[in-house]
Amino acid sequence: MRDSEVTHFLVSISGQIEFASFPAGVFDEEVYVQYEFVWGPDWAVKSGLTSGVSQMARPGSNPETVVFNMPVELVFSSTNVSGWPQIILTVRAKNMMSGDSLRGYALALTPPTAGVRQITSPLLRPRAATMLGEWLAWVTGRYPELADPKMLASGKDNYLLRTESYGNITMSLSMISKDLRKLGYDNQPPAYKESS
Amino acid sequence: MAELHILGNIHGASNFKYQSLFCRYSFQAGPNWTVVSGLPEGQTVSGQLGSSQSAVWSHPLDIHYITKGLQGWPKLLLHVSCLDSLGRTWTVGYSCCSLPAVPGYHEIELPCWAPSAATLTDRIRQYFLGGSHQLLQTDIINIGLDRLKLKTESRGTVKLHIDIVLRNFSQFGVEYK
Repeated sequence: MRDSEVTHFLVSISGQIEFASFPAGVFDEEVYVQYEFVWGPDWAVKSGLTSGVSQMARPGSNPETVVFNMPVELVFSSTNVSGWPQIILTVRAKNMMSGDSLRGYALALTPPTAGVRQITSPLLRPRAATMLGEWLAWVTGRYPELADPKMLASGKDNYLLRTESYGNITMSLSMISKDLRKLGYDNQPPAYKESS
Repeated sequence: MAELHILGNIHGASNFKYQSLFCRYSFQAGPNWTVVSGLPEGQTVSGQLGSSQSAVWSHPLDIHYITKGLQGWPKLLLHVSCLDSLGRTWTVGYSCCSLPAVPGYHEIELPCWAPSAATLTDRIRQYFLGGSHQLLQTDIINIGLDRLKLKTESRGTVKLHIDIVLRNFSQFGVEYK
């Protein structure tokens, strides 16, 4: 294919959702994570799973972290960098007493530069709007949830949602692109710049 | 025309002495720059101060500019506000940052400032009742003119994670690395 005929670039995202960490320890019997990718209008998925659910995990010798090691692998094709894929993670817990309840949502941008990136995103969870709701959440251990977590990725119409943050989740994702530079894009940091 | 993509997120704020914080942001660019897609302004969720004395927003940014010239490289303006238990809001910090012109990943810490209470009565009122002085002309945040008579005090910092992608800049002879 000649250079002038190139109209699309391909982006391969692969890696894993490594672990969730809660600084005060995990008091749930089982924790699991759901992931979902969100992308802009010019993007299309070529291969891979755009959403998934991990295993039921519990912490081991380190009481603060729950390891998932959930693999993620996707190939996107696009004509435009705008709308770069984001990943939305929902961490939930399952207990005998309170059943299935939310532990938090996390949003992360998949790396737009080639190479591996370790991403730590905070877990956010909506707060109850009223005192009674807050008390109920405390008693039952179940927190308010978003009807559609994808609204977090759009960054609009949140109507000043009240949230609190507890814990974070770590992913390591690597990105490989094809024809991105042929289309005139430059996403690589210069050689003199440290990666940090 | 050359294109600029700004991707990333407004991560959160730290060292503000308020329970609940949110942030309004807007991108400011010169007349040569046009927004093709993305939201040039917006508002984050309100985050409660957590264990590490920081509020987390994790608000996504994705904006696409095209440009005919380099004058007025985009800046990000932030208005950090607090939301108290009665549902009142007021501005607790302003900040402005010229976005890096270097492709790749950037972690940016933005120190904020706010107009300070000028008189003792104002200071007492703000201590007990809340509220703050606000800027009427917000140009002063991103333009460095007429700042001499402004009395400010320093506030916490806001953390940004930004990825810059440039397109076709080198085609037009722009040297950025």
